[in-house]
Amino acid sequence: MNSREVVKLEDVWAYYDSTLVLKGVNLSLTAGRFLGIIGPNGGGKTTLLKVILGLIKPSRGQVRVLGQTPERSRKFAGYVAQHNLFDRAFPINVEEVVLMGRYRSRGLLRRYSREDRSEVSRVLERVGLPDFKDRQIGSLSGGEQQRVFIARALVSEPAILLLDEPTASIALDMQVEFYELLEKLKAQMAIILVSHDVSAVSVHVDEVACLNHRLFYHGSPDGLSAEELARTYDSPVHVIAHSDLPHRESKDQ
Amino acid sequence: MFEVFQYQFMQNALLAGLLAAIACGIVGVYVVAKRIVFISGGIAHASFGGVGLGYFLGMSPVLGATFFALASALGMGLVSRRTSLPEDTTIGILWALGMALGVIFIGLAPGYAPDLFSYLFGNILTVPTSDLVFMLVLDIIIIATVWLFYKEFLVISFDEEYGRVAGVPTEILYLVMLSLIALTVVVLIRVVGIILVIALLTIPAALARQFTHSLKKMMLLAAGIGALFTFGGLWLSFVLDLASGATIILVSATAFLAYFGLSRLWRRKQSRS
Repeated sequence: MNSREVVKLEDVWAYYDSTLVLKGVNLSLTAGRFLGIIGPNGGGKTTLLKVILGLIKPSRGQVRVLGQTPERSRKFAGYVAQHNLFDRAFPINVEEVVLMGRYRSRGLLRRYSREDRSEVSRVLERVGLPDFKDRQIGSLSGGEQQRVFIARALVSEPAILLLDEPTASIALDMQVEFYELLEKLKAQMAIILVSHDVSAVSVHVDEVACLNHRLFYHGSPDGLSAEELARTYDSPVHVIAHSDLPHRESKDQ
Repeated sequence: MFEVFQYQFMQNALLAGLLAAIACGIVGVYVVAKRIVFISGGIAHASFGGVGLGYFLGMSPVLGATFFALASALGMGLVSRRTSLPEDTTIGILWALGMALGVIFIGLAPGYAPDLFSYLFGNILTVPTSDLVFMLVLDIIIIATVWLFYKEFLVISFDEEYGRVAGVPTEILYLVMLSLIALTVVVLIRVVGIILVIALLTIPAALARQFTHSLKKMMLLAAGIGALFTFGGLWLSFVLDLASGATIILVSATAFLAYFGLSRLWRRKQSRS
């Protein structure tokens, strides 16, 4: 096996609840690469991330993350789940949320140390939230909340960063900043970003994968054709003339 | 008007109220924050089966209730995690099953069950010293467990999936948390009874939440508010000669509604000026 290979999926089939959503997916990613996975909603993007994290066991096929089973390699992964899933009124402040990212280095029955807390402050500064430690999580804007969750993923110093629709709640002008941050992080870790926003992803990633139950394309964003996209989305895609990138106008978003 | 507190039974009642307030203050915060009020109601009602079993076997109904509360908590937790049955369905079934078992056991038990009513609606005035010791032990277990697993409980309350990714043994700790709810229910049975447990588990914590964003401070505050409610309700029930458990709940609910009514009025006034 290639030692720089971070993720390797071979003929992976997986169910979400009782629906078969991944059908024979092969995927390989090496360290320091930024992969964007695009595809329609319900196409299995989130399931793929959860398979890589070992949260969903594939019914067939093999998954290797950093050469190990996903359950064992999970401690090297940073995960930012789809944003809308938590209770905004939950009585918790930003520092407590980000500290969860240090859980692995502590484990059961051990308190977070001063070092953990200073690490949290450092990462919060890095994502541009230096003075937010004591704020209740729900009092932050959507984009700020998203950066808190990214900080939580980063504070564990992951070898692989998995992001599920991270830009969904970020204002357009903040997205540029967000991708610049990922650009910097790329030197230290492999990044997999899941999104239905084809154009934004294509501009920033090194590799793009089109997923709709099956993997329709995996390669450089430059090589991605409108036909390929149309097959992924199972519908004609309008390529906008003034852009050199494929852009899908979609009504269901 | 406070000379009533000189009596032994009144002192026991105050102690029971304090112990109950501590338990429901700590555990109620998780119940409210993690939104598992319904599962707590299920555990409370299922424990009635244990009260019945206690009568039937001629042993302490509180011991039977402890056993049933723990068993139903673990049952609900395991079934909802390991099977595809929806959690609220499981809760509904165990809720009714426990009550039904209680009714059957009591029917089969020899003789008459005289203080059955006090298990359903509580009677803080008849708490014997032995039960106080039992409640104290349960309180210590609850405090020790929350102290040990505070950071894990915070993760699984806020974001259980992330907990799994971060390596927290989420399932076992969720079962531990449900067991704490079960123990709290047992502590509260003496004070307000099985049917009214939910109110003391939720109202103090829900009120405390209005004043702080810290889980720890919420616990302290909720315990204090709970103690205030039980003492106030107890005193009022004595003065007005009403059922103690129900009066404690009425005091709590009135305070809760008053707080929300007043804070709405206040906000409306603020926005107008």
